[in-house]
Amino acid sequence: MAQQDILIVMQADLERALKKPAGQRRWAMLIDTRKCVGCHACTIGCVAEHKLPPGVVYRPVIDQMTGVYPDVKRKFIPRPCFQCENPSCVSVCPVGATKKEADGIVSINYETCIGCRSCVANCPYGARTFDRGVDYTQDTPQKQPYEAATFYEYDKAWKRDSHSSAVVGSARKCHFCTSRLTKGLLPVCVTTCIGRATYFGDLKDEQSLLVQTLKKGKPYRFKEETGNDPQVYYL
Amino acid sequence: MMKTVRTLLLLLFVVGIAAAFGKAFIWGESVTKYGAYVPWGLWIGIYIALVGAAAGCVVWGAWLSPKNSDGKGTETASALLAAALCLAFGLAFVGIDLGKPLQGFRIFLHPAFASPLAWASWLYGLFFVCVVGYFLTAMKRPLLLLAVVCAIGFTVAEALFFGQMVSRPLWNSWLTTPLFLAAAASAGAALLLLVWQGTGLKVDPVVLTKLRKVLAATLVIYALVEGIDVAMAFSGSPEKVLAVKRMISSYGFWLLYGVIGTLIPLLLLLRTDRAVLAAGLSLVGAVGSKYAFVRYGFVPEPMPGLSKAFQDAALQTRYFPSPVEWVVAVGLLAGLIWVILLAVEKILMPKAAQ
Repeated sequence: MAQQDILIVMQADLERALKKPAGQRRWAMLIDTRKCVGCHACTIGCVAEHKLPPGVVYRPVIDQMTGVYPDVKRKFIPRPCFQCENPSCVSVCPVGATKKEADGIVSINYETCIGCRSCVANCPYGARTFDRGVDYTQDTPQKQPYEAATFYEYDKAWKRDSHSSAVVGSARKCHFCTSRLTKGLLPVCVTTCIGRATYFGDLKDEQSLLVQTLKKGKPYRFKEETGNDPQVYYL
Repeated sequence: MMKTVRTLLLLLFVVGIAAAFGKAFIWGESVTKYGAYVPWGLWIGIYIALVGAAAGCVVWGAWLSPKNSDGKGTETASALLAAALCLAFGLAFVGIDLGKPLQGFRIFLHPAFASPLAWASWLYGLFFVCVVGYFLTAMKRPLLLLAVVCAIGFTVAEALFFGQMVSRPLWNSWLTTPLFLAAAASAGAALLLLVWQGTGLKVDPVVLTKLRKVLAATLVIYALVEGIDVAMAFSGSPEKVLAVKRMISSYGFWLLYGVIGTLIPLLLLLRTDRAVLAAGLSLVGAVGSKYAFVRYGFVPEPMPGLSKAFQDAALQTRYFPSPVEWVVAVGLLAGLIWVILLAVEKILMPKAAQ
C-alpha cells in the first residue's frame, strides 16, 4: 500500500488538536534538514501569504557549508520563529505588545507595538524583522495592488496601504500562520515544502506525526544555552 | 564670535528638526539605514550617551554644589536644568528612532513591569516632574534628592536592559551596569563642567577645581572599567570576541573615545584654562563609545549565514548611518548646546543676578 502523504496525516492531526481548548495544545515544528533541498518554496510561500514587504522575512532558509574540501557538507536550515517557551523577546518589550499565547504561539499586537525594536535586538535567532513601511515599488510611478492587499495574521485582517497602518513601524515575525490554523489549514511553509521536510503539530498529542517523528529521531534545537526553550526542532 | 557660533548652532538645529520631522512624518524609515539585523544605530548610541550625561550631571551637581545654599543655588539649578535638557534631547533621539514616533506615550499606558526599558521610561517621567517641581515650588532639597535617585535609577535600568540581552554577547555581561555607571559619571562631570565653566556662570573656583578633578578621575575609572570589560570579553564566546574586536578597532571607539575623548582631555585637564575643551572632547568620546557599543553589538549574526539567506538591503549586518541620520544627529546635538546656552542666559543668569 502506498504511503500516505504526510500532509494528509498532519491535516488530521491539526483537526484533532483544534478540537481541544487552546491551553491544552502546544504548536511546534520539526524540520528534517536531511529532506530540505533548499528550494526556498517555504520562504516565498510565506512572503506571498502575508504580503511581506522589503526588509521583512519570516522564514528564510540558511545555506550552510561546513568542512574543508574534499570533506564538505552542505545543509539548508529553514528558520521560522521558534515560538520559545521562555521568549526573551517578550520580557524586553516595554509596552507588553508581544506575549506568549495559551497555545504556545508568541504573538505581536501591532496596535500596541511602538516600533522600538527591543524584541528584534533580543531574539537569539534573528527571527524578528522590522516593517520599515517600504514597498517593493518604492520610487516607481505606482504602488501595485498586491502591496496594499489584505493579509491575515493573529486572526485579524491587516493592510499596509498607508504609513498610518498599524503594521507599518511594527516588529514582525513568523506566527505559524495563526489565521490559517484557525481555519483548519496547515502553515503555508508546511504545505509548500516540496521535500516534506517540515512537520507541524501539537506537542501534547502523543499520536501526532510530529511527536512520533520526534521520538523516532534524534532531534536537536539551536542555542539551548540561552534558556529560551525553542519549540522548533531539527533533525 | 559667540554670536556667530550661536547662530550657526541654531541653523544646524533648525535643519536637524526639519530632517527629524521629515523622517517621522513624511519619509519614514526609508531614509534610515538600520534594519532587522542591525535594528539600532547612531541615534540609539547618542540616546544612551545623553541619558548617561544627564544622570551624571544631576548627581555631580547635587554633590558638588555649595552645601550652604540648601539646594537653592545657581550651581544646583544649572545642573538640574542642563540634565533635564540633555535627557529631553536624548529622548528626542529615541522618539525619532521609533517605528511609530507618535505612539511612544504608550509606554506610560501599558505597564510592562518585566521590561527595564519601561522602568527607565517611568523614571525619566518622574525625573522631569522633579525638575519642574524644583523650579516651581519651595521643596528644593527633597525634589533634588528624588531627581538624583531617578537619575541613578534610569541609568541602572538602561544598563540592565542591555546587560540582560541573551542574544547579544557583547552586552550580555554583569559588567554592563558598572560600565554604564562609569560612563554616566564621566559624561555627567563633563557636561557639568561645560555648563559651570563654559557658559559664563559665576561658580565658586574651589567648586570648579573639585569638578575638574572629578572629571579626570571619572575618565580614568571609566577607561579602567571599559578596559576590564574588553579584556574579559576576549575570554568569552567566539561571537563575543568577534564583536569586541570589531568594536575596539572602530574609529568611534579607539579614536573618538580612546584618543579624543579620554587621552587628550586628561592631558588638557592639567591646565585650568583648557578644562572646557577637555569637557567638550570627553562628551564627544562618550558619544563615540556608546555608538560603538550599540553598533558592534550587532556584528555577530544570530545564526551563521542568516544575512545571506534572504537578499534584502534591510537584512544585512552592515550599517553606516544615512545622510538623514547624520543631519538629525548633528542638528539635535547643536540644538542641545544652543538651548543650554539660551537657558543659562535667560533663566539662570537673571536668577544669579537677583
